[in-house]
Amino acid sequence: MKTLTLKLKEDEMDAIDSMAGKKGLTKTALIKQALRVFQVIDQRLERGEKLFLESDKEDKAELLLL
Amino acid sequence: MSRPCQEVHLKDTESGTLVPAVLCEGLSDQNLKDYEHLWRPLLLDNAIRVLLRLKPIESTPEDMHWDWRNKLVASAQAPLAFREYAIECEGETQGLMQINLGLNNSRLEPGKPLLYVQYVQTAPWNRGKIPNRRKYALVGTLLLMTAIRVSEEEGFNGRIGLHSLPRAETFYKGRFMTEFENDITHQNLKYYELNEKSAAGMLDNMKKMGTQHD
Repeated sequence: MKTLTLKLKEDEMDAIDSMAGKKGLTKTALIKQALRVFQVIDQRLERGEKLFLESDKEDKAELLLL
Repeated sequence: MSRPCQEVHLKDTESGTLVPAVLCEGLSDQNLKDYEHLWRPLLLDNAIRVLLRLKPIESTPEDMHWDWRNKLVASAQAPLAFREYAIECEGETQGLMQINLGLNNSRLEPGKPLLYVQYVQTAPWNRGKIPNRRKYALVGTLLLMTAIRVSEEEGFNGRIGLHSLPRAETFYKGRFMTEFENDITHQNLKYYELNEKSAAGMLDNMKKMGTQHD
């Protein structure tokens, strides 16, 4: 295992605290999971695929990635 | 490249004794060859015997179409989310598992993530029906315990979920997993989930049995 020190703005840290609390994860576990999801999405977008979000009530919408 | 492996024990069903085995993270080429050259011929042979009515229909292997090389291709596209494990004993692969640590949410505790067991499979000779006698016991249990342990290590508190093939349902029910309705999004298979409390209980039981692989 390796250690990484992060420098975050207050709102970024607040977001991590809030999401970790909501999901019952430690901050490390949350960031690791975010990295896994980011890797999956990034690799698929690199292959030319598109990412859509869909709900029962609304039409499918392409997700705008910043 | 060497894989991280650790010693575990399987139960030899003939002698009733525990025999040393290894649990490895990542699949070797030999694991894939064992699957293709040792497991699949037995699974196919069994399916043919069912077709010829030499064996009861309940003996049809539900997983004979699985292709582990293809599963590794999918895994390579998201290497941080997917992991594979193999149990080896006496020079042969005894069990295989693929887990998914991506965005899988608990149904028992909505909003909380869990480890999803994508595939878990034991060698045909470790099942009751193919052949008629089982060689090693505890393969499936050890793989399930590994999933629980990884779930703990990744901060998911032991929560795991999976879709079960119909004939494996009894196995999961016997391990305190909550059964959900058939899932039309997953080939109409039943979904099973293990909550934190049951996961902790299973890890404790394994420690008491002295078969935990730490």
